[in-house]
Amino acid sequence: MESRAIPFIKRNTRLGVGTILALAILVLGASLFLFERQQTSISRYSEVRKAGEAYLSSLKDIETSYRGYVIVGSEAYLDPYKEALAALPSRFSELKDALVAANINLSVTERATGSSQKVVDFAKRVIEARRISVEEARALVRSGQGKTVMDEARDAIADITSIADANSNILRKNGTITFTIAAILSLLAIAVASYALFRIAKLARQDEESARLITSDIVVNAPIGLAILDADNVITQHNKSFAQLVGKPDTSVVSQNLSETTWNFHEASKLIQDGCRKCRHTHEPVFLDNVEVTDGDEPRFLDITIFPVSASRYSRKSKRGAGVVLTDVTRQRKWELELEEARNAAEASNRAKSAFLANMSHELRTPLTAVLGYCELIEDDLADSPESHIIPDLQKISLNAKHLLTLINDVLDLSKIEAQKMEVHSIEFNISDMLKEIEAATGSLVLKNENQLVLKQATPNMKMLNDDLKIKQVLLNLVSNASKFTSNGTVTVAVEDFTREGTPFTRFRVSDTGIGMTKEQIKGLFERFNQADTTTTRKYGGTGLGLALTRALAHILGGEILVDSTPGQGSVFTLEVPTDFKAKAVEEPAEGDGVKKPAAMTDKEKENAALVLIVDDEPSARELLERLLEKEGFATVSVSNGAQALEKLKDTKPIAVLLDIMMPGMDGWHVLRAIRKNPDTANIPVIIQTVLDDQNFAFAMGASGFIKKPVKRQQLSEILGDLETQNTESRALIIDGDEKSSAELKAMLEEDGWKVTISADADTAKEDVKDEPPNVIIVDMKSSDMRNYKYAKDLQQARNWSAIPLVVMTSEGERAKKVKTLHTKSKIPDGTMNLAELVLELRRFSQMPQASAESQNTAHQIEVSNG
Amino acid sequence: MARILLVEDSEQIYDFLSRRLQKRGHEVLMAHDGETGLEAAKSSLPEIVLLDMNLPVMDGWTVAKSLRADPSTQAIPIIALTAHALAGDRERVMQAGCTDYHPKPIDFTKLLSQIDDLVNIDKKASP
Repeated sequence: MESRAIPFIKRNTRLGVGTILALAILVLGASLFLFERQQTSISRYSEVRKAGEAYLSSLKDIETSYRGYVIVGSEAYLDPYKEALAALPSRFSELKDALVAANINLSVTERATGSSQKVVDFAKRVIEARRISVEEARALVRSGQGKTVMDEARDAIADITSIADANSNILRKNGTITFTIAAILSLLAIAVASYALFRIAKLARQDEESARLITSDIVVNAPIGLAILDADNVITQHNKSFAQLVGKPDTSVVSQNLSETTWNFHEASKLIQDGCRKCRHTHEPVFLDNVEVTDGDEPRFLDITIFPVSASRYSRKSKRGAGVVLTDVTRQRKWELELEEARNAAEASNRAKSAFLANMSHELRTPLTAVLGYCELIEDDLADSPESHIIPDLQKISLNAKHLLTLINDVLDLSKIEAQKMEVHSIEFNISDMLKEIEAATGSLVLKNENQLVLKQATPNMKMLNDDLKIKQVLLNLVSNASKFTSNGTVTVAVEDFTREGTPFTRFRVSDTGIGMTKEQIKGLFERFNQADTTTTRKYGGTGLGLALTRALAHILGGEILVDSTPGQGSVFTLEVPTDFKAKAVEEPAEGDGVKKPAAMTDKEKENAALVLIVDDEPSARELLERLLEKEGFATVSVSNGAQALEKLKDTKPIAVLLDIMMPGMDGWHVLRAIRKNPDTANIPVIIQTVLDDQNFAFAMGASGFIKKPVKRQQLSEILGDLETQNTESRALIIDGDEKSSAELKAMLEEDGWKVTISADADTAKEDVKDEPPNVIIVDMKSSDMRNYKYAKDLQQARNWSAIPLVVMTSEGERAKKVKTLHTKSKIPDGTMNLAELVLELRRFSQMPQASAESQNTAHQIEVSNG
Repeated sequence: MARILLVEDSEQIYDFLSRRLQKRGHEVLMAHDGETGLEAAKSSLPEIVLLDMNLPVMDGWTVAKSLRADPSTQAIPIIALTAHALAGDRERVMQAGCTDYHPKPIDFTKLLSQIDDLVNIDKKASP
């Protein structure tokens, strides 16, 4: 358990306990100190007593000495007297010192001083008297005066000592009480503090225990799978979610070895083992994102993190244990997929819209052709007749029809660009030739407003490798615009080379001296149907689409169009395009505008007729495959990781992908899934080549083939051979009823990459599609005529083609068709749609992997369309 | 002037186109579907074929391929008339065996010069 912060209150309690303890010690210390001082005081009082007694004893010596002298009369008896007399002042000063030390007022000595002087004086008188006569001395002694002064001195000294004794007694008594109380208090404080400490320790233990319980509750119940593996990938500990996520919700998986598990977590466990190996090697965590595991029917997605665990009980020698964290990201994944689907749907519908516009524009052109054709025919007829005055009116019809045609062409071009059908055909051309053509084409328009066209080239003989027609289209538009908005002025086309970020570019600058534009007018100039303002449309004509188209064209050419203008002085439009379109296209794979750069593609497609994409992180494995494939006559392209593979597939269409599974970063399963999910790549065969033993899983994931490493040439050529026969284009068989719509559908399907056969009836159909069963049979019926339907049904039965979807199409109004699919498993929706929509549906169908591989004996049900 | 085979199923287009071509002195043979067009080309061997690509019975692509496959007709120039005008159409019609390409709507002046060019080349090549 990690150390935790002690809660605030607990910290305060500890502080309190500390204070109590400190106080207790202080009190004990203080009382000891006081006791010590008291002992000193007591000893000083006893010094006073001693000094007093010593003083008294000197006085007694004096008394005894003079009495002996009186009785004996020998001077020798006076020696003690003399000594005592001499000692008396020092004895007295000792007494005084003792009193001062004991802090007792010296006034108490006054009586003692006086009485002791009396004793000394009396002794002197007695000794004097003895020297004179014994009798006199005896009489003096008998007078009792000596006893009186002596008693007085004794009393005075006793007074002094008694004061000291009394003080000493009081002190001794008080000291004992104080000390006892202090001791009790200290002991009490220590007891309290100890108890508090004990409580705190107990609380802390409880706290730790409950925290441990909470942590283990979290670990056990968190919806994140946690497990620790030992050095041999044996699970030593795991929580509930781990067991749940690996598909063993009610059992313990402790002591199971990850490599021996048979759970449905199988595939992920391989990835984990791989991750553990890497993790032990690098000592860095390994992250595996969006690993798919099967949970019943529902796929689940896990984010897996593997991290090194160094604790010795999980590790052995240099091999470490590993921690595994499983996070269920199925929900997030689902959202992501839903988002992606929504985006795809939106993109598809946008493309469908543009395709519709392209088709519609195309439909509009057909009647216009007739209008123009007949106008010109009549003009021809009338030229030499008396009715020739009608000709100007006819010319107005022609002119308007042509204007309408230009408008439609612009719409068509724009929608082609948006439907990503506009292709760039780059060729090498001479810029001055192109300028001459522009001069010729715009001559009348330039002259109309009495303008002059000036062509300038920075260097003679400038050349470009780009789409000449599109550049010309842009320049024609710019020059005719410039001439329209300029009168009596000059329109200049200047060309120069420059370099942008290392890529050679060519700049065409079309400037005029016309009316110019304000900043507001420039804003939105390149939007559709937006001329400088609506009145200009009336005054100067034009479709309002020209500049939008011009810019779109500039973009697909890899360039840009810029404008600068001053009102009243003129405008400058600048077209900057790469001098070599392909160099530019290769350098930055087409992004922006959602426009493909198909020039690079179409060429590549031709070259790549038998191209195989190799995806392997090991250079030696790549080389081996390249060699083997080249021997088999395939072209190869190799990449070293999944992301590169997906990037590559954006602009190459290999006939197959050879995919390794265990790769750093995105593993092979992810790559496979991404390939299958993208409609553009969904039907590219993917062959898994790996050391893993996951053939069934590979096929379940949508692999087209499986090769166990090391790859053998024999095996590889067999699998690729199978694919070659499998992987031909989608084929449609149309059984003809309505000639016109069949032909139209055929053209449209072919446009969309189908191989289409139209057969009049079942018998010819049998011959027509003898060797290649179609992927779909379309029966085009005249509303009441059931024959074709019968043909198709016969055909299905005769050829055992019951699994091939049978689409029955009947006319529903002018353009619409009622479509019904007579195959329960097919994904072509029934309903009323036009041919373009049907083509889209068929494309979707053909891109589903099961379209070609669907079991031939699937039971089906045929209904007769009532449409 | 040239003997032209016009294979076109749209009545309005073949009507005015044939009349205008005839006015310019061309001889115009007509067929309204691919199959009769192919037969007409083989039987009457025109100097040039104007071929709509979107035809009933047999489409223009098949007609062009068949004409190129037959030694008697493989030298006849074909101008493809297509309404698609989509990028790549030119390449596709050329691959199918056509000699030139004219997107609809018809620019009559241009068509005349295309015809002239091809017939003249043809005449120069095999006088």
